[in-house]
Amino acid sequence: MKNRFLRPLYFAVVVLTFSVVFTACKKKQEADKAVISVKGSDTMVNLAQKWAEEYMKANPGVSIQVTGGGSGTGIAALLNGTTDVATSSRELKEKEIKLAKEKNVGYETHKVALDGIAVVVHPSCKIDSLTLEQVRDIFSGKIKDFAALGGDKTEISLYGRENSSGTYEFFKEHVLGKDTKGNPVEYASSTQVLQGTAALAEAVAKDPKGIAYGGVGYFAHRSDVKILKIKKDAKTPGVWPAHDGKVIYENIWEGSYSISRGLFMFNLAKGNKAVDDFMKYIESPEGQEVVKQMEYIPLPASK
Amino acid sequence: MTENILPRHQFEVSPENSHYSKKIVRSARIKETLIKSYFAAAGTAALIFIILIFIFLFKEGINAFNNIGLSDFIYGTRTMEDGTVKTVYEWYPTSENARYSLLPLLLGTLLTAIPATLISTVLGVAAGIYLSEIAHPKAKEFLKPVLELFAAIPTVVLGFIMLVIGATFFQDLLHPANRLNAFVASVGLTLVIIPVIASLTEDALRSIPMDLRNAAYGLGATKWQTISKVILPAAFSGVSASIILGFGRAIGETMIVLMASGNAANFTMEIFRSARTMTATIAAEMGEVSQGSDHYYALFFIGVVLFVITFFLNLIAEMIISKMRKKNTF
Repeated sequence: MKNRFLRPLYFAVVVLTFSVVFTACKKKQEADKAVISVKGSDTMVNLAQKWAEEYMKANPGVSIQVTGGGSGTGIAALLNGTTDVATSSRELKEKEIKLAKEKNVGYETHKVALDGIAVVVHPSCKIDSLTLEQVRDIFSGKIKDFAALGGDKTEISLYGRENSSGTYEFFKEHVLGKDTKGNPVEYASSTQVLQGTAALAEAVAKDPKGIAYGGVGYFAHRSDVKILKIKKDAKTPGVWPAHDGKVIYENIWEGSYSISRGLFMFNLAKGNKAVDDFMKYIESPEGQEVVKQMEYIPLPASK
Repeated sequence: MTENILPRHQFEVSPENSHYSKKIVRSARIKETLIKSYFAAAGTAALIFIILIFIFLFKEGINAFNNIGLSDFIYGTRTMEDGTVKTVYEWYPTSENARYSLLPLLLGTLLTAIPATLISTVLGVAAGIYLSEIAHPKAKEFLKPVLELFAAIPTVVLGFIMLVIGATFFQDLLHPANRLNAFVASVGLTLVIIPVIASLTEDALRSIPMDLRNAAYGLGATKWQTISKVILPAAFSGVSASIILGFGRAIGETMIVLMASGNAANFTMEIFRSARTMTATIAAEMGEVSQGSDHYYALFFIGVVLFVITFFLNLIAEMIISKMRKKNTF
């Protein structure tokens, strides 16, 4: 009886000891590596992770740690010196530029990719294209019914991101914009808030009345949601950010698709060679190939 | 609580073994004191933690009033496009013209918690009656642990089930205004509250002495008459306490409502519309709010409001239960 009880205990102790020794050895090995920490945008977390993986495969002497937390978090960490590279789905705000000057922090800006924001509906929805103004009126709650857009007479069910998301801010600033009095237009209070773009895609796929916005990469390969064409105004033709399961890069490069943004990386300008090499890799053709794989939009080839 | 478990005089009156017994008594008393102080320490530790949480929550929550007035938590104003200023009940904490009205959130909480409590009361009390009065002891032996197991399902799993299966089911059945709505969330909540109400109701009914039942049967009452006219009225306070505790649980529940209610801060009473609860607001926004901002303190203030509500609900239930205990000591 005693034996039967003790044997697994011995086993556990042996396994534990081995694993502790093993991890300790591994830690020691890693100490010789150059460590780069990358922090910031949740939109870019998967992309940065993939870059890190590919880069570490080719350069075993470098260890890259990627974490999210939001664009603002990453930039704050860069200015506080707690991360080497910050990722951001927006450019620096004036407040942040001022703060960097105050703290005397020199940084380099790299535009590393582009991202298109797609507007999606359920595949059964009769609408194929919207003007920017219609998109604004839908998400601000002015247009409440698909009938006003030429669709069936059903109430629109709005889906959006939580108010800390970079996509939320970008869409609010660039699509909702300001009213004639110069006050910023708000999302309708009936907007349903879901955690993450994947959840939005899932919701719209199941809701015939649903409409949502989000990074085109999350929607492009899905056949259970319909990506809408966006017109700059009533006269110009509608433009797809993605069609037939593929992101159409040209439309975003040329700017004919209206809702797109740059994705940025910032690093401290103090000549850390490991960081510089990593940034070079990201801007290289191999690095941009990863952007395509992850269904974001690579930089135009000429650049 | 001054009386000792060892009856002191028994040892002291017998002189022939007084020397030996005093030693035993002393060591037993030391042991007794140690054990007592251990439990006292554990008890006070829990109390101290609660008080510390209370203080922390209030300290942070009170900061909300640095820049936000009490009236701002009720209503806000918004300049419309035509220049008119309207009173609005909106939750827009990150807007340039931030509005912090808690009414849509409070309404969302009630809109999910009240229907959930009503449904669970009907089903939970019935389940409690069945377990206590009707079920064969063997059936009860099997059913009660199953019911308690039900309460142990992680709420995120229940939320996920409601999000994926429940929402689609009710969408096809009722064609609600929003696929994810207060009703779907409250059905999800019932899965959590039914076990709470059922098992507390069962406890309350079981504490009714057998004499009452026997007396009722002796007077020729049927089983149903005994239950409805004798047992339930006798256990009324206990049953109502179980319902209040279930309601408190519904108000405090986070994961299910976060996943299944759609989280739109609508100022509405329509149950088939998306709603946003206070708990879901804290859960969704606390993660990435910048510390020390008005928004941050406003979230803490929501926490204070929630704490106060659930605290009083529990207090009332506790008072009812202790009153019932006193009444039922025959």
